[in-house]
Order: sequence, then structure tokens, then C-alpha cells
Amino acid sequence: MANTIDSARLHLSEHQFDFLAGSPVVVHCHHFNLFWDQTMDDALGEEVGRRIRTHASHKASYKFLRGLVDEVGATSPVERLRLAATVFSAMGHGKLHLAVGRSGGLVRGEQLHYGFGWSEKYGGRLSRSEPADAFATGFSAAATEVAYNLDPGSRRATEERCIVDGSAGCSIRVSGTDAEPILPLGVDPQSAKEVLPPPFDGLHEDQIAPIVSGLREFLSGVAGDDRGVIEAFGVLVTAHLADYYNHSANDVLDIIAKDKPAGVQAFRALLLEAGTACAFHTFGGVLASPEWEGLVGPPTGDPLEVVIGCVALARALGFGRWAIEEFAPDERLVMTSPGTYESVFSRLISANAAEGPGGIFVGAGIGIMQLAHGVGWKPRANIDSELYLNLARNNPWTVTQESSFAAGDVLDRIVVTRR
Amino acid sequence: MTNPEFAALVRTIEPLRACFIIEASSGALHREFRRGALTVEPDVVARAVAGLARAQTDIVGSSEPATLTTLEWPGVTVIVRSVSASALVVFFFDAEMSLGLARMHITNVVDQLDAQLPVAHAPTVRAIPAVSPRRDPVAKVDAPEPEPAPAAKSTRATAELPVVGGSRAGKLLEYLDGNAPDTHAALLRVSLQTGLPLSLLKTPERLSGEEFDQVTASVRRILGVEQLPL
Repeated sequence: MANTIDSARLHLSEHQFDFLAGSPVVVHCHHFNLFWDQTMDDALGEEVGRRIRTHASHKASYKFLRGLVDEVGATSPVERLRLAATVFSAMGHGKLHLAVGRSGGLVRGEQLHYGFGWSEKYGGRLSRSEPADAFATGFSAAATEVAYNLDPGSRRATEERCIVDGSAGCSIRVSGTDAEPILPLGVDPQSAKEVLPPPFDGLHEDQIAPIVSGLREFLSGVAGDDRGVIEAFGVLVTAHLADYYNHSANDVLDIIAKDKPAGVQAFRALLLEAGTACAFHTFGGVLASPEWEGLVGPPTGDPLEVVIGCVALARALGFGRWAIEEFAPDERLVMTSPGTYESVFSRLISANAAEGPGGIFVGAGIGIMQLAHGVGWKPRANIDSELYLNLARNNPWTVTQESSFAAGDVLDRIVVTRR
Repeated sequence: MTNPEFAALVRTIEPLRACFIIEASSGALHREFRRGALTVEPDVVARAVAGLARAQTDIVGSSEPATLTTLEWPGVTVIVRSVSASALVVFFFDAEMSLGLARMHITNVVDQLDAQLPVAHAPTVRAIPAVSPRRDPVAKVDAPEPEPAPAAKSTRATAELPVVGGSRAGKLLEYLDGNAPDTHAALLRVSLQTGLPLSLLKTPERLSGEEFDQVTASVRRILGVEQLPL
């Protein structure tokens, strides 16, 4: 089955985007994922936030699974449900037991990424009663619809039990609904190619390119273990549907821009913070890993080396063809990209692209400079939450987005400088 | 936010001759806007005003964040607005400007200044990046702005400002700072949850009773507790 799924992969090398069954896929860790979902809930409250996130997953997952069963040639409901569960686990989201018929049913989840990740990260110090697994919930509804050739939106799903409140496991109820049909829109390879400008080189391409190749080769062998979990680089890793992040953030932004405009600034700031956390934890975790040492060599602590490594990682993880336009150690970093997985979505799908939420490219600029200048890499860096908090408290960097592909510019460009 | 963007923010107030943001403790000039020549150098003004703020603190016994100090000079009215323990904003208005109108302008400006306030030079200073909403999509400007740290605010409440007269909001935010996950982002989360601007949350003494209740509910949500031990 894994080989079958692999056949549905497509890599747009000129723009460093990865597609699986026609949907863009990016790699993110549990720190980023939890912060992202939390921000949606902060904006709208847990109940509405969960509904929006579930809806975002439903849309993204339907498009993805529909494409996957078509590409793989899975025709029967049993085949399709098995395929959905397999790919869910392979992507590091845990295990789903999809015991659903045409009208619905009960889905049992084990080690579902969000609940599992929340328990790992916060379980010892916080309590939570709201279920955490909106992505798995929307995915379950979509899997049911695709398995039985039902209209998108004709099934709804609700997480009834979640391990975050102390339950032994997670369970998701799928049932029929008369709600409005959903529009499973998302970025596809052809439209991405058409809208993106030609790629361009930045500095140090001769060093970046081989690292990207090595990373991609290494990552191609990374998949969920028997639990459907990818534990690597000190984090819980997922291969995730980029459309999920983009739908959720855009939908939330649409709502708060109308209902709570005073919160828009904080919302954008928190998405940017998510990008910073992503760069620190994921990029930093990889740079500090034995696997990186095997691939590139032990980190020397040279800031340029860190920046090159981070840009290579962004490409290898499917974020887009990030490039270094300028780097002055301890002073300034300018990064460009013909587009990112966020800005391409905004350009193609968002009703109001110029107001798109963004965040990953811009926030990562801060995180990269923190990694380059705030981390002691020798003898070995300890990339953990405590260090991140210390760096965040004393962050000397500020970032400006000078060009926005989403807003109609020819590229994305950010400038990071000292405050 | 860059200095030109700060200037763009205050330039629209026509009777405003100059405006400076200065760091209260050091008197360092943080942002400046001038319309025409000034008879005194901004750096001199900044240092003098910082001294004035310290004197006021000595007299009043606390640095109430939202205080106004008005000076009437020949042809100009100078109003110093303390917006936090670490930041002062100095407005130079034409003398003909009524004080009421000046105060209205000051309130409007201060509410938009979150991203420009200097962070206190204390060991517990915290800062995280942030982004301002696009103000002008046509110009394709979407500059993420440095926000003063959410936690710096509550740290300020304990480390620099004595909590006066039962400043429950200050204590509340101090508690959040000490207990929230990702504490550097906690105040942003309160802002997003409540819809209250960061500038207001940085001066908790200004919170109304209803706003205080909103903030309390938000802190409970963030910490995942029914009751707060305050």
C-alpha cells in the first residue's frame, strides 16, 4: 500500500512544492500544529474554532482523498477506507479505525497527532476538556464520503472522546447531515505552476542544492511507525495537507475581520509566532540531529551555515523555493521566494488574497536568525521549549515583509534586522 | 514599525508640530516626527522629559501608566503621555489647539502605538515579533511589526510598578505571565480572545469592569482552570 501511495507523489522541483494525489503537502511538527489550532480557537472560541478547523480539514481531506483513490485506482469502499487509514498513519497523524458505513458510524483513533501531541507537550501542566483532533475528525467525514461516493459535506463528524480529557482513547462519530455542501477547493499542481513566476537563484545555491537533495532522499524514507507516529528530530512530525492550514486561517480571518476587527492584529501576530516556533523547533531540531550530522556534518555554529541549512530545510519540507538574497551575520537577513505554500493558496483560492493571513515565511525569518545567533551549537545544541522561550523573551530581531506574492507582487520577500 | 510609518501615523494631526516616543528609564529616543524646525533638539527633549517622568514618580509615589503632563511653552503646548512604565510619548501641539481636542488625538494615537513602544531594559524583558494588519493593500505593504512583549507588560506590573489601589488586573496578568504556556505569546492570546487592543492590556489600570471580566475569562481559558487563586 505504501508503494501505491508513493506513486501519487509529485515534486515540483523548480518551486520546491510537494504534492500527494494533487494536494500540496508540507512537513510540520507538533509545536507548530498545536499553536496553529490554538490560535484558531483563541480567535473564535473553542466551539466555533473547532468547527472551523474540522470544516477546513473536511474540505482539504475530501479533495486529497478523492484525488488519491482516483490516482491509485481504489474502487470499493473497503479499499478506499483502508487506503485512507493507511495514508493517515503514513503521514504521522496516528491510527484511524474507520468502521463506517454509508450512513456513518464510529471511528476509533489511536495516538491521533493533536491529542497525542497536546498530551505530550501540555498534559502535565494544563487541563483541557475540548477535543483536540479536528483534523482527524474532518478527515473521517471526508473518508466516509469518498469511500461511498457521497457528496462532499453530506456527512459530518464529531469527536466524542479525546485523550486530552483523560479518556482512554479517541472516538469520532460520523453521521449524515443536511448542512450546506462543502466546496473542497485547494491548490493543485497545474494551477500552482501557472500562477508562480519563474524560479530564481539566491546566494549559496551551490551549497543549498546538495543539502536539499540529501534531505529529500532522507525524508522520503520517513513515515509513521506502527502507531502512525513519526518521532524524529526531537518533535512529533507530520506530513500535512497545506490546504488545511490555509483554509482554517483564511476562514477564521474572514470571520474576525467582520466580527472582531480589533483582534486581527493579534491573530496575524500569533500566526507569525507560529512560523517562528516552526523554524526554531523543526529546523533547529533537524540541524541538531545525528541525521543532519550524517548528511552535512556536525554544526560548527557559523551563522551562515545555519541560515543555509534552514533554507535548504524549508525547500525539502515543501515550503517553497526560499532563497537567500542577502545575509550579514548578526545584522541582517533578506530572504525571497517566488511563492510559499501559503501565498500560493492566497493567490489562487482566497477571496481576498491581499489580506491573506500568511505567517510561515515571515515568522521563520525571526526563527532562523534566532537559530543562527542565539543557539550554542557546540558541542551540541539542545533545541527545546525552554531555550525557545528564553530566546523569545529576549528576541532582538524584527522582520518586515517587503513584497507579498499573495498581494500581487512578483515574489515574497522579507527583511530581518536587529530592532 | 519603522520611523516613517510612525511619522505617517501622526502626520495627519495637523496641529501637531512634533511627536516623540522615548524610553522612560534612559531617555533614549525611540521614534520621532517633526513638522518643520524645532527650537530644541529631540534628544534634549527626550532626556528632559524622562527626568520629568522620574520626578513625577517620586512625587506621586507610583508611575501610573496613563498619566498626562501638560506644559505650556510660548506658542506650543507640550503634553507628555506615559503609556507604560517604559515608554513616554511627547506631543508638541500648536498653542491654539484646545486641550480637549489634543487629548482626543492623543488617545487615538496611543491606541495604535503598540508596535512602537520601547521595551523596558530590564532583565525580564520579553519580546516577540508580530505583524500589523495590512493598512494599504494597494501599496502592498504588509510589514510585520515588533510588538512589545506581552509578558513584558505583566513583568512590568510587578517589577517596576507597584500595584496600586488593588490593581486586580495587574495581578491577574502577572499570574498569567507566571503560569501560561508559551508565556511570551500570552498577552497576544488575551488580545485575540477578548478583542481588546494590546495597548489597553498593557495598561491594565485602564480596564473597565466589563473588560476586566473579559480578561479574567480569557486567563482562565488559557490556563484551563475554572478558578484563579487570586
